[in-house]
Amino acid sequence: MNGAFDMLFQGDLGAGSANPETALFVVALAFLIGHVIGWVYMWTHTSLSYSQTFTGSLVVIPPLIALMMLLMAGSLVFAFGLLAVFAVVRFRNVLKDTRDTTFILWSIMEGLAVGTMRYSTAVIGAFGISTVFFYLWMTSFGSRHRYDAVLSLRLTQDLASGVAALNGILRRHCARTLLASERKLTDEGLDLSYRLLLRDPSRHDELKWDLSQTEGFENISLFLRDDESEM
Amino acid sequence: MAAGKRIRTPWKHRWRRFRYTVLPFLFFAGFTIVTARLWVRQVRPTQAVGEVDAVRVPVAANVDGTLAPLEPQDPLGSPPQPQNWIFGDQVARNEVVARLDDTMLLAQAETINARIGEFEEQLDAIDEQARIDQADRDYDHDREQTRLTLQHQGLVLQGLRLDVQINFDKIEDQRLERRLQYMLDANRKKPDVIPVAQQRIDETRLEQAAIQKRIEENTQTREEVERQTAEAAARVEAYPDSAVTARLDQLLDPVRAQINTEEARLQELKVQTRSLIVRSPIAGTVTQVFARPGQNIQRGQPIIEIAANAGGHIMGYLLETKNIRPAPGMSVSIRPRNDVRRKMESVVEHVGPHVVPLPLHLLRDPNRQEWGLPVKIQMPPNLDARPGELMDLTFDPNDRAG
Repeated sequence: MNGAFDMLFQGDLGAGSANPETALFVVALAFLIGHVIGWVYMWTHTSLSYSQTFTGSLVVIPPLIALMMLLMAGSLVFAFGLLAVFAVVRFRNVLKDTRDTTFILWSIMEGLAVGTMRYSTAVIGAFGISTVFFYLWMTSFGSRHRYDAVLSLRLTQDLASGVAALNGILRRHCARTLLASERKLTDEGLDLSYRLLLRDPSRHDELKWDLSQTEGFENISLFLRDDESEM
Repeated sequence: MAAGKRIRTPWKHRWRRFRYTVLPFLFFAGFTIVTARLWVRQVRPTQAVGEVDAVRVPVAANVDGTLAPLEPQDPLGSPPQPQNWIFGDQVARNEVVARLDDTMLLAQAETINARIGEFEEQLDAIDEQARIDQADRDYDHDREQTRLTLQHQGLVLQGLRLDVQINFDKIEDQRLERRLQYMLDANRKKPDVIPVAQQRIDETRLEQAAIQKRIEENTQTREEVERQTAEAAARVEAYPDSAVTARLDQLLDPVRAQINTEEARLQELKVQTRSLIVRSPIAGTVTQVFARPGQNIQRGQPIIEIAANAGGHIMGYLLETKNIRPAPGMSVSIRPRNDVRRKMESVVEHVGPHVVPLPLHLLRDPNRQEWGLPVKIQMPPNLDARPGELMDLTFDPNDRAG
């Protein structure tokens, strides 16, 4: 226990010089930390201006910057060189997306690594950052994919029997449902809006057909979407 | 129909949901494990950095001169030397590593040799002069010694003569005393006849008084002669057996001064001759060659640099920010920087008296100076490390081996 404590909190002085294994370790540790940052951002984000690519960039930027600092290794000349290259790219091209910025930064970093003859670092950086991007793509990291359809309908018959029938149909077609809104009308009935995670999105028509074949449901509309809206 | 059997989720969508929901956690967990393993390999719980004691000695010239090629065979019996040192050559302790040109010193030696020849001729002349002077001095010495001896003997005889005279006078004094007593007794026994004339008694009395006065005078003279005899004996005793050589010293002193000067020059030449040979102060490996044969070098200018092949201890530097008080006998864990999985135990031998700047290659950032307490640590017997290799050190204040 004491050894683990020492390992965790007495490690700054013992950090060795940068070798390829160190570069790998640096990329991995930075990725883990960036991942935590991305999760924290996702779970704590409440406003409407959510962006998946921005969240992905939060994961990629730490290993990129760690790699950059490894390459610069305290060299002011490298730092100025990096700034100059980045400024040239930024000046010539307006980058609208943080993800694009990370790719530019990654490309510059690889050029810097090879140009300064840190071949191992260049290869490890390429492999590490590619892995991170592949991971982001594969897991669609940053996407808050909870529901893939929005169902709106009006319940005109008896409330209890109508809801029971509706739940039966939804249980058959959906893995998860969420009652998003409910509006009580004076004489026509009850307007309901659900968010659905369909068991098989390709069979959404069957859901709509099942609902239309059941008495007491009117104004049925099913709106499919892959993810929550991004701004 | 409407609430029938649940429809089956296709594998494609199952996989998609797995990727979106479970895979990030699996990926994160996997990376955590990999990172933790790398952490153990890369990060050492370190309180101090140290290095195996690295001795590097620049071997410098002792005097100005021209670097000469090393002899194929060292006169002292060392193995044959290469003409030029190159990186990696092994050097034994006290081995000749350089030789300076000795032409100038040979010329100086010749000069001193010529001066010695001059001195020898001067000494021959002085010797001849000294022989003549010695004969004169011996003659004077003998004369003076004879005079003193005769003077002493004369005084002895004079004293004896006085003794005889005094004794003689005393006898005469006693004889006159008896005669006077006889005459006075004769006159006292026959006062009417008066057999001895008064004039005769008076004459005897005067004669006795004269003798007594002479005895007194001679006694005083005898004492004076005795004193003079003692002084003369002392002079004879004090007189040297041989002639004094003051004259010879006077003749030799200038030559002696010159000889002393040449001796000093010769001594200086010996020192310079020894200085021409440069020997290695340590055993080790040649790491740098600064000068080559034929090159002019100045005193103190390095010729080669020798690095010791093995370190005797580990020199650690405990950063002043660490709240640890190292003491001799305290246990230390040592991890070579190039093999962090190896861990060896050792003990502190000595602790430096004050905090010093860390050597440049021990700094985490070469642009930022750090300070630490130097700690000398015993070399673990199983540590196969070259001088200068970096070590990570962890002290255990609770474990005091000593």
